[in-house]
Amino acid sequence: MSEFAILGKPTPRVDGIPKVTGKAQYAADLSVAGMLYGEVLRSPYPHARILSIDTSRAERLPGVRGVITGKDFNGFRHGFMAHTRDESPLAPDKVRFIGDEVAAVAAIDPDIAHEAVELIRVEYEQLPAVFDPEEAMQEGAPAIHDHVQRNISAEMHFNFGDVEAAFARADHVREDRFYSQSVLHGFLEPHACIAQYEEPGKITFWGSKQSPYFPYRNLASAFKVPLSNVRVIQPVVGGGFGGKNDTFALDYAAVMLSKKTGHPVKFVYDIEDVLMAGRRRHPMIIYMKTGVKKDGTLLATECRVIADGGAYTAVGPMTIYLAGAFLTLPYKLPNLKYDAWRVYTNKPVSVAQRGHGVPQTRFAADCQLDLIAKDLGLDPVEIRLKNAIEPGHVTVNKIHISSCGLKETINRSTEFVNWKERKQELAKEREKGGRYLRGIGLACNGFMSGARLHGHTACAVVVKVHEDGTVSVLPGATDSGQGAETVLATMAAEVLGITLEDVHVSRVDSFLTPVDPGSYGSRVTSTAGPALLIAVGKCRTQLAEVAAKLLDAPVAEIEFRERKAFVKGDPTKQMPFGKLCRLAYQYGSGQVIIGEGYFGQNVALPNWDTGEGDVANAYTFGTQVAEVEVDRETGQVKLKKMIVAHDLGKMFNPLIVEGQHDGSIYGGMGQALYEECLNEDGLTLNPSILDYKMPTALDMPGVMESINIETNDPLGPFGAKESAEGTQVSTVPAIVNAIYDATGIMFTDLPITPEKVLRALEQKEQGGGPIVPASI
Amino acid sequence: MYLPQFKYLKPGTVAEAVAMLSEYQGGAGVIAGGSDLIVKLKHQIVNLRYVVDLKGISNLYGIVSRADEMEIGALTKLSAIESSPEILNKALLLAQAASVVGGPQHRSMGTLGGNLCLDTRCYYFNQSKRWRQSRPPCYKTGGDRCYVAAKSPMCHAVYSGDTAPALIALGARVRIVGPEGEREQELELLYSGNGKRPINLDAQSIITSVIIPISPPYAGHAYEKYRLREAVDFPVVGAAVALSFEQPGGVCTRARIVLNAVGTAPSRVEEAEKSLLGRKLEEALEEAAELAYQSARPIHRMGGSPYYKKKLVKVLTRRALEKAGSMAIGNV
Amino acid sequence: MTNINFVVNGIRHQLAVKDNETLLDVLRDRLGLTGAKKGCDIGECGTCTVVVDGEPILSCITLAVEMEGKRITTIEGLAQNGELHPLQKAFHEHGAVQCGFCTPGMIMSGKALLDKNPKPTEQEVRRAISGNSCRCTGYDKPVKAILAAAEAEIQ
Repeated sequence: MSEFAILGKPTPRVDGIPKVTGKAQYAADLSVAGMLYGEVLRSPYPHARILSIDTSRAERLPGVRGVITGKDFNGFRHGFMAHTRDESPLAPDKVRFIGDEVAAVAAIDPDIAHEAVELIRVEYEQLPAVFDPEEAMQEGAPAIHDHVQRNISAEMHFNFGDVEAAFARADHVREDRFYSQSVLHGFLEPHACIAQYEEPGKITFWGSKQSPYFPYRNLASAFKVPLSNVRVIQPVVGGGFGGKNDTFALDYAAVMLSKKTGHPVKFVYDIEDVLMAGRRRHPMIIYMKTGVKKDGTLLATECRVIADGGAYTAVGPMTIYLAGAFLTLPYKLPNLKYDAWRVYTNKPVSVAQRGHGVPQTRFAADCQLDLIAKDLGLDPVEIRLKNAIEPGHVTVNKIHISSCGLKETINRSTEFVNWKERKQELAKEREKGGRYLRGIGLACNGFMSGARLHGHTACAVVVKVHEDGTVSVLPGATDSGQGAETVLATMAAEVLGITLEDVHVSRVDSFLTPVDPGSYGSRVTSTAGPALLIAVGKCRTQLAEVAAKLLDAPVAEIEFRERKAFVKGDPTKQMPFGKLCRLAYQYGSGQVIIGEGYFGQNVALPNWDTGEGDVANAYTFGTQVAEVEVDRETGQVKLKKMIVAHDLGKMFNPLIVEGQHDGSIYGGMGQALYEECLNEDGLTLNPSILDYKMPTALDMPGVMESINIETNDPLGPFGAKESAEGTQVSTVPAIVNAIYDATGIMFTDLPITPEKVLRALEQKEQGGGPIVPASI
Repeated sequence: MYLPQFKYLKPGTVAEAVAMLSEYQGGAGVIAGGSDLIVKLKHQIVNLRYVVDLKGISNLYGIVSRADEMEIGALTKLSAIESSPEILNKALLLAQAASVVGGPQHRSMGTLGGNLCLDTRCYYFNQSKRWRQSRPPCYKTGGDRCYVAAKSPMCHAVYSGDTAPALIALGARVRIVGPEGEREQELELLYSGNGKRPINLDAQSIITSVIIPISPPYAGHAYEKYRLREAVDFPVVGAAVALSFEQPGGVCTRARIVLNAVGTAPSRVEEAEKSLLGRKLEEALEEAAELAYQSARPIHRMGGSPYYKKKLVKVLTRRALEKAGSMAIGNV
Repeated sequence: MTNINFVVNGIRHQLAVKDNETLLDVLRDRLGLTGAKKGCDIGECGTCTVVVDGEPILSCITLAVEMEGKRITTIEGLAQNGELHPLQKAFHEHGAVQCGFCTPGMIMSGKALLDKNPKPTEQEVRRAISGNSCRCTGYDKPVKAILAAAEAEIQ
């Protein structure tokens, strides 16, 4: 029998019923009396100087209430760090990609707003544009930002140990080039918001944001009002995956147009806005050189990354930082040299996406590891076990590992599929010939549980106990679909011995909820979780003190479970939780039962210049085993099975964890085999759900298995760590390695389209090498 | 998304519909399921003053079986076609093709007539007005160039309807009503091969029904559709095959091979068809697939390079022939 | 403007609609039924799926004027007398919901399936929701939920 009442059990989500009944209110579902409807005008050119904007015809259209351009923002720019503020709400003087926002309109209905946008005349002087990051870095390439040399938006250079010496004594060194393509977050809810500006300088903002305190800060800066004047209210969010962190043109434009018109203004983007001009994962060209001993022991990696940043910097420096920092996880690596350049191109902006920078370089590293294993005649499992990080390990770049179940995840996932037997069985099957080539592959991950950027990195939670025995949790953290509300409610209910129905988790309202950096980098369970435990612990202490008096027992003897307060060892002394709360309010000092807690700044921040230090409180580890089937005739690859074994510290809710793992497999499979933003001279050719090719229910593997390894992290709430963002790191290489097993071809260019596979199979038949770095 | 204004008209008879289309020549469009036209209106690649909804015309629905043929009303839903016992029994190939159109919702909205009249598709055409403003217009949007084939004097948008190749393979005819009255023609002739105006149907006429001859005994057929995802997608390449044999395992007496999504129209591969006649399938199959491969001239983009699509033509033709062959044997 | 009569979730409505208004816009903006979502708005993502006369259709590419005389069921019409529909209950209990944006459309596709085919196979369920995109779940739990709802309805 579990020591927990809810924790660890397959409990339905707290936000499930409003979502299955259609009652959940997303940003586009909201209305405010008197509101106007907005639309933005986007640049049709990848790179052009704005010579003039004539909004007069739009302004004269009946029903139009306001038109704004970049000039209305008086030079305000935003960005991740002070020196990277290169983005304007609306482009004031120059557009840098097709879709860059130039002007915005508010009108009494969406159709009029659209017609008005079409009446705005912009005179452009087209400029030479550059789309390839390696070309953009050359001297003489078009300058996308005037003050920036060679279009370098950010760069990182790490050097740990001595890679040259290590290569010199290595038994085997190999160098490969990998490419991770441009993919989208894939949420189905397009960006939407309503903003209301009331004089003097009070802003109310409802927006689909996974990190609502980003617009809280950005809107205060943009409109030069105190933070306390900005009220950001979060509706239900329809998926984020890293794509709903930043403050976008529509958010600023809604506030500015509200300020200008005196009405609330609502913006709802079309999915085309998101797919054509929205943010996406950084494409990366990765040159990876690795040296090993004969027995497979990793000695050194030298990695060069050229990341295609698109037109602005956004969170990009962090992306290439993480892409380098995680080269030392999940395998022991004593020497690392890392040089990364994030380069501006005239394309949409690259940002964080599930796994934030780590999936790209780990795809390269984990696939190269299979090539090395093949070179040395080692089994892929063997080489991973040999190098796997263990608890207590400190990486060469000073990442401190406490709990670590990596080896167990390797063992459990490979045992699940009978790795050795299955691999041989499939090899024999391939020898027989036939239409399909089947193969099996694995990859591992190490990831941050609770990312830390800079500045304020703590999460805080307030817990209020009501007189009727119910509880309100006010976190600064956000649920964008991942199950955060349920996780927080579970912890609160567990501590107070009440049920999930007794706990209400509030969504962010910056007037009421505590400030928070944002819900990115797997922060909620890991960082808001301990904050909640502190807060709810304070409530518990206050209630225990009251209960001790009422039940005539020492405070330390009071226990809470089954909606009751008990005296330990004496079942006759008990009281319903609701009654205790009522009495606490009525007969005590009058003190209301409120607790608050914060957590997350206990570990020193990493050193941005050297790449040294911890990027999280704790780290998760995992292994994925994929089985694929390759159609020899069409080149099509189908993922048939995916086993996810993940060290998540402590399993809170199998329904949520499995569902999240399934979704992580989905995203990774999409990136490996299906999805890509096709770009032609800056224009996205496939900005639609039809042409972008996210897999359907018929494309998913029939077998998706989650194996959860509990390592009880000392800093994690109840020992828990993140889950299902780290898994995104190993999904792609597990699939690619399985295709390598099936075909003998290592595909180094994503996505692995059927055409690439067919060409490579033919090339191989004609005696081509084992690796096809072909890009089509 | 913005949907421009138009006037909605709902005729009760075919004659009324034709009269409306004649009166508002050029400015009126026909809607049946709407899954193609409404999207094009939202993308503003067509601009119409009138939308003529055919759904109120009761005699455009239904399936009528006669001794040697069956007639299917143009407004019959694809979902009804894929599950109709009548069609599954007598024109399985059509049911197969209907069952792989789009997603379930598209099939329960889309009609047979609408699917036959599906416009050709292209990355540079099926985009919003805003998207298209980044570049000068292409042939299909009224311009003077093709973005798929830069030197081409013509539009290369791809025909991607699934039911047309199946029906052409079955030798289907269509009934068309226009101002001059009713006529019947081979379905094959509905396709102009002109990417810009792919459907040979004047703006005043509508397709009222499809007539499918009942296959002789010892017949078999198959539709092979290749696409990246198993639902929603249009074909990257398709191949529809209908064969008849003199006896089970005997020589082929009639063959139709129709390729899909390799050009501006569904196209028969007559050399490959001829190569099968008078021969046993297993002896002629590879050659026929090779001839299909040789004849195909697919374009770049929309799912792959010409090289890749030609490979698919061969694979799919062979697979469809094999399936049709086994069905013919199973039919006995 | 055209006057139309139609029944939504059992309630008869008479409404003057613009010829270029979609059913989705009328449901969301005129009738306050915001359960059907506007994902792509061009019939590709399935979030706007509602059931019209027993068939799952994409309300974003359906004109409201076409709805004369039709019976429409939206996600809001499934629960009866405060009781969740078996599909809603199964989606909730099987963890088939994450961000929830695709959920109403997916449940309505499931509803159209089960009304016609009360005992579907897993493959039939996958096919029935193959026109509903979802980034969060990987579809496995929604598939299991629909199978469980079928099971529950039979009993």
